[in-house]
Amino acid sequence: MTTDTGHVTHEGPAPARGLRRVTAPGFLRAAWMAPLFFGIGLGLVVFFRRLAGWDPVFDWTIIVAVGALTTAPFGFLGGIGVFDYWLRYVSGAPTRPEDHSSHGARRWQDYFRVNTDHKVIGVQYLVTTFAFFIIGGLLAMFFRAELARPGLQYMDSQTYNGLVSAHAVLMIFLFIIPAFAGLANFVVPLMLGAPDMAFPRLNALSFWLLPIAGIMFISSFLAPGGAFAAGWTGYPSLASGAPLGQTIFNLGVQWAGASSILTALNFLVTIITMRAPGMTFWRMPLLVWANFTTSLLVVIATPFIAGSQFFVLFDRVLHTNFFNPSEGGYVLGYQHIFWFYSHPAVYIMMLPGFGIVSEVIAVFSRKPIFGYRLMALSLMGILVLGFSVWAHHMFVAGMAPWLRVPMMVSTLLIAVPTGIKIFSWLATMWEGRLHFNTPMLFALGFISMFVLGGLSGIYLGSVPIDIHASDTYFIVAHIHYVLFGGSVLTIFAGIYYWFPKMTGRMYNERLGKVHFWLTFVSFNLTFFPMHWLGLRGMPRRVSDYADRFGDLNLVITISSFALGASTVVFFYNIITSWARGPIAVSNPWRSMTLEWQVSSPPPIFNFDEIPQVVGGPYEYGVPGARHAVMSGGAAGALQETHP
Amino acid sequence: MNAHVEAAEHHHGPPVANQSSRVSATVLGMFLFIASEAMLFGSFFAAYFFVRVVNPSAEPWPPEPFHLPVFVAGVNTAILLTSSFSMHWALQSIKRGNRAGMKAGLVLTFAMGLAFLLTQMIEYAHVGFNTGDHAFASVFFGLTGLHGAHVFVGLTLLGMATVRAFRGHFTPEHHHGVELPGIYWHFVDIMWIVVYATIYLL
Amino acid sequence: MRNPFRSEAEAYRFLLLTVGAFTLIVAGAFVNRWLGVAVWLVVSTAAVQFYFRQRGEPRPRAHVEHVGPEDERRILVIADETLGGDALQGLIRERAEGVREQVLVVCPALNSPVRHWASDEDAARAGAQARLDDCLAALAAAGVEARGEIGDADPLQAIEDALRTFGADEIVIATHPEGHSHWLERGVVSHARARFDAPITHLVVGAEPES
Repeated sequence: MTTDTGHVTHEGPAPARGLRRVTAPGFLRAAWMAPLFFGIGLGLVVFFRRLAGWDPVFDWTIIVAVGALTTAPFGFLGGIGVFDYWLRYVSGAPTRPEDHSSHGARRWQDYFRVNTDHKVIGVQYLVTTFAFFIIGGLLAMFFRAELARPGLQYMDSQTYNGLVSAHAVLMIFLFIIPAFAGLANFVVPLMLGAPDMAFPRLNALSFWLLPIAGIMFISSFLAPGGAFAAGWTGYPSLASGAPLGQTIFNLGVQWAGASSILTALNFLVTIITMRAPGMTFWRMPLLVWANFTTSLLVVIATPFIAGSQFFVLFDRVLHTNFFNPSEGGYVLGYQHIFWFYSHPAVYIMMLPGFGIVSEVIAVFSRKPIFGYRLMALSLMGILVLGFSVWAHHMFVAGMAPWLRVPMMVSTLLIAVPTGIKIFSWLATMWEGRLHFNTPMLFALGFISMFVLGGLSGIYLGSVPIDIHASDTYFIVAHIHYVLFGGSVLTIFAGIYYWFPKMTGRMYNERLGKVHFWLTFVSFNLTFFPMHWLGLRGMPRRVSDYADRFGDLNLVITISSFALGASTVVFFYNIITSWARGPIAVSNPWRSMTLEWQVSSPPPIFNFDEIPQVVGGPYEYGVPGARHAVMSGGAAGALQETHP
Repeated sequence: MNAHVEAAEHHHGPPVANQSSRVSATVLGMFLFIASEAMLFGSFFAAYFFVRVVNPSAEPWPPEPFHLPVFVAGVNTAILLTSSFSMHWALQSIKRGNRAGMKAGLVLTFAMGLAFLLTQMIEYAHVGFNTGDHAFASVFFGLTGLHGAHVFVGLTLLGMATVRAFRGHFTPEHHHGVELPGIYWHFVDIMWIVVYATIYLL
Repeated sequence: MRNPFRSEAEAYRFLLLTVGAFTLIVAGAFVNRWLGVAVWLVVSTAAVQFYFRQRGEPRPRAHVEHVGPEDERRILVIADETLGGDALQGLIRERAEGVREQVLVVCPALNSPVRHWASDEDAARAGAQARLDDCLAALAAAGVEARGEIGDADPLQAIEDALRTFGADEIVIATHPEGHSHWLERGVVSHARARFDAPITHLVVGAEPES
């Protein structure tokens, strides 16, 4: 898929024969190493239980938790070869000369291997996350079918709860968060003028952790007792006594969290240490700023959800009493610890989208971003304030009443930096030369829908209103306006915008616009009525409801099917354009940022020479302004030495 | 730093990235990883806070009838502290070119780390309560267990460094492979000071 | 801010500080619980202050490579309000006498702090462009062919940007005298001398001209 720009590059290793086929890194080796490591896990459990004299020695709950959910994934990862280089390195064996054979994609098979090229990893992330988007969306359509009419028609409540829980988990941990990571993985090193990320092998590991988490969550549907059904929030005491699926949730979150943290660490080191010469922090594009702040959020906050799931896991499997009040536990503690991550999580799910929108709007208004420095500072402001509002998810949970007002105040305060951004985008477009192509349409759709979601958020930030609206469909409406109308629309904007760069082909513009309008209309028809439903008393996470809510629910269900259908247009467009769309030029959008100054798709190592940055990234319409000088001739007169 | 490259005779491999910061990338990566792990400990300390401070029923600490082996854990603390001294000595040695000192330091550090872990496991067997007994036990096993897991990771890193040291790697100029496990090991020790003070002493 | 874990030696020192700090905290707590809390607060604040105050090492000097033909001399002039004065014009004419030269005049688009943080640069750029145009016209009238660019609001950054593509053999920085110059307050000339290894001439305009 990657065009070879005339360099002599090495093909991958010659196909192995015989025994080498099953011992060479790849899926074949993973196919026997995963069960082997499951066996090791089983052996460890049996050994220690026999040693401690506990009965029964073959406790399958614990064996699944340790063997299937902890050791087997390591076997899979080792099998595909993610650890090979490091193991050789730490054994002290002589280094093999680097032949770059695991870098870059020359054939479609390369996308299914462990690859160290951030561009390949980015595409791997995007394809994987969209697969989970489809599955998560189908789950939603299943339970929307149940909700079309009052009464239970197709499933029992427990199954319903499982569908709802899995829908949310897949969308949050396996779609939105990693899709932004994937898009950033592809674009950020190019935007920085770097040849790759700081730790390319770690980058590969981060990706491969993700399908493990996804398969775990989906496999919970096959567990005895069904899928985890305590919501994506998994509160004890409901989660403490739930069947095996809940343990799968506890551990699946760890794998997804590890993927997220390692990626964020990589971004932070890359952004801090690998910027092109002349690219000061105040000359970085806003997408880089957005990923920088998001990565800080991930590194600091994600361990808290890991902790919260460990506590529930220990309560379930080791009989601890973290959340058992009769033995000194404190139930509400889970919610504090959980939401201390999960509120920053919503910013993790939105800030990269803000960055994408800034890129798209500047380019398609042909104007510099209004208030660039304040845009960067507002991202940092959201980062800091985002840690101070977690208890607004707990206004009705029974926590100390004095905590509610400070949390309300800080929640309402977050509207300030967010508002700065909205006004800045609008001011950027003001008197600009606007181009309403598909990425721009999604960016504009985002602004309007996110403002609606933000407004419902202001309502909910106020304690008295939240007391009324908490755990109703008003919350579901708010969530989806900010997550779908917010995050998902920006993901689409980003995919359309960078599609020519990633694939070397143009998508079909007419189909793109059809996709946008179908999505926009069906999205609003699906989620807007939920505001009324909630305020009139329909609770959330219920499989059945009062008869008077029947009509609106029918409308919502039908609209949700239309929303599902609209994504078919997207997939058709992307797939056919990728296969045989018109070849794209290197800079179809006439953007100034660095990723557009190389070919589409970029050369395997991004740049022949690292560019020199001599100005800001958004100086559209400013006479004589340049963002960077690419190479050749006079570039490189300033030579900086490094210790 | 800036090679003029002829397009026709392209060398294999990427251009050298610009270093936009004086911080080394691997050290920064280790620091961020430590920050993330410190936050994980933070969530466990939050649980401790809820169980001991917020819960109305948790005084005195440890609650009756549990007792904590403060003295043995104190000895363990001394062992871990000494292992940090030997780790530092190992680093100082290789910076001065003293390979024997480095190897001895690494082996000593590993041995003391292992002793710490084994002592901890023996204490678990003799502490007189189980994971299922009261939230106090949950917090105790949770925090010390989390720390033990990090000691295990630290021992793995040290093991790798020791293997390479005995195979002749590391010079006074290039010893990242000892420096980074050293940083991690000191983090593990710092965490133990905090855990010990919080759980056993305060 | 310095990273307390930037090397093993620093991490080791942080460990020793932690041991000391917690000894104090535990001792305080044994006396009185709230004393222990107070000690913890004081120690934590002190640690944060200490680590935030530290500054890193200064940047190593950058080498400016000569660009262009051997016998050509490239002069980078950076000035703002002093652009229009005779002193600067005279100096440039003098430097350009008799040699084949390329002169690049960079006028940073200086801005007020408020506008700078609001990224409101248009007025600043317009002003700089006007000054630059006058200066270039005057130089052209005197027979010196010079190019002009609007530079970054930070004069040091403007110099760095110009050097990346221009590769000057000499840099001329023109400022107002000491006490009347923002640039001298911020040490622009001394920082430039530390940062770049090209010869730098500091022209003070407004008092007795001295180089």
